[in-house]
Amino acid sequence: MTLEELYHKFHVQVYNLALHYVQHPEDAEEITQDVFVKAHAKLSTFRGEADAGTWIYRITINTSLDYLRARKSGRSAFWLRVVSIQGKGKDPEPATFLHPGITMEHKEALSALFQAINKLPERQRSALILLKLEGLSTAEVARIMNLSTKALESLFQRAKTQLKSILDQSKENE
Amino acid sequence: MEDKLELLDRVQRVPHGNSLPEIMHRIAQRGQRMPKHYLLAAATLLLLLLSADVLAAFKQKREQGRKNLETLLPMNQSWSYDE
Repeated sequence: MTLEELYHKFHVQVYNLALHYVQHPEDAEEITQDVFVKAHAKLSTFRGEADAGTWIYRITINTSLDYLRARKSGRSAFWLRVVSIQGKGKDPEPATFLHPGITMEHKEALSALFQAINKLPERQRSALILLKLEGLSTAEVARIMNLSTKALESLFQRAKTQLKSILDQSKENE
Repeated sequence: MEDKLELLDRVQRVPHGNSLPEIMHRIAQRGQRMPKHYLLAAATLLLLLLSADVLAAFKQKREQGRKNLETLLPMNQSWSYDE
C-alpha cells in the first residue's frame, strides 16, 4: 500500500480521532500530518500483519497522547512561572471545546462531557473514544489496544464509572 | 449516565480537506535533514576521540612524573616526612 492510498483511505478517520483527543481543530490537523509522515517512515516495516486500519489508528492514538503529554507539561511549566510571580494560581480547565460535528442544541452538554473525558486516564479515554465516538466494534478496539475483549469490556466499564464520578463532582462544584 | 453517553453516538464525523501536499513537502524536508542518530553517532565518536587524547596525555604526564621522581629518589630508599 502506498502513502497516497493510505492517506485517501484513512485521512478523515485520522483527523477525527485526533480531534477527539486534542479537541482543537488546528492541533488535530497538525497531528494528522504527523501521523502520515510517521506512517511514511514506517511503511517499509509494515508487513501487513495487522491490517492497515489498526496500524494507522495505533499511530494516531500514540501521536495524539504524546501531543497531549507535551501540551500538559508545557502548560504546567507556564503555570509554575505564573504561580511564582503571583504567589497563587491553579491549573485552569482546558478551553471549552465545541465539537463541530454535533448540532447546536447538544453542543453545551457535549462540551461538559468532553471536559470530563479529558480527565480520564489514558487507556480509559482511548476505550471510550474508540467505542463511543469512533463507533468501532469491541473486537476492532480490542485489536487496536492490544487487549482481550473481556479486558476491554472491563476497561470500558471502569471508564463509565470514572466519567460519572467526574461529572458528579463537577456538578457539585458548580 | 447512559443518556449522556448516547450524546457521544450523535457526534458526526467532521470533513477533512486534502493535506497530502503539505505531508509530501514535510517528508521531502525530512529527507534533506541529516537523521538525528547520525548526528548523535558523530558527536559520540568525536567525544571518544577527544577523551582518548586527554587520557593519553594524562598517562604520558604521569609516566614522566614517575620517572622524574625515580631519578630524584632511588626505589630501594625509603623516606618519610619525619626524616
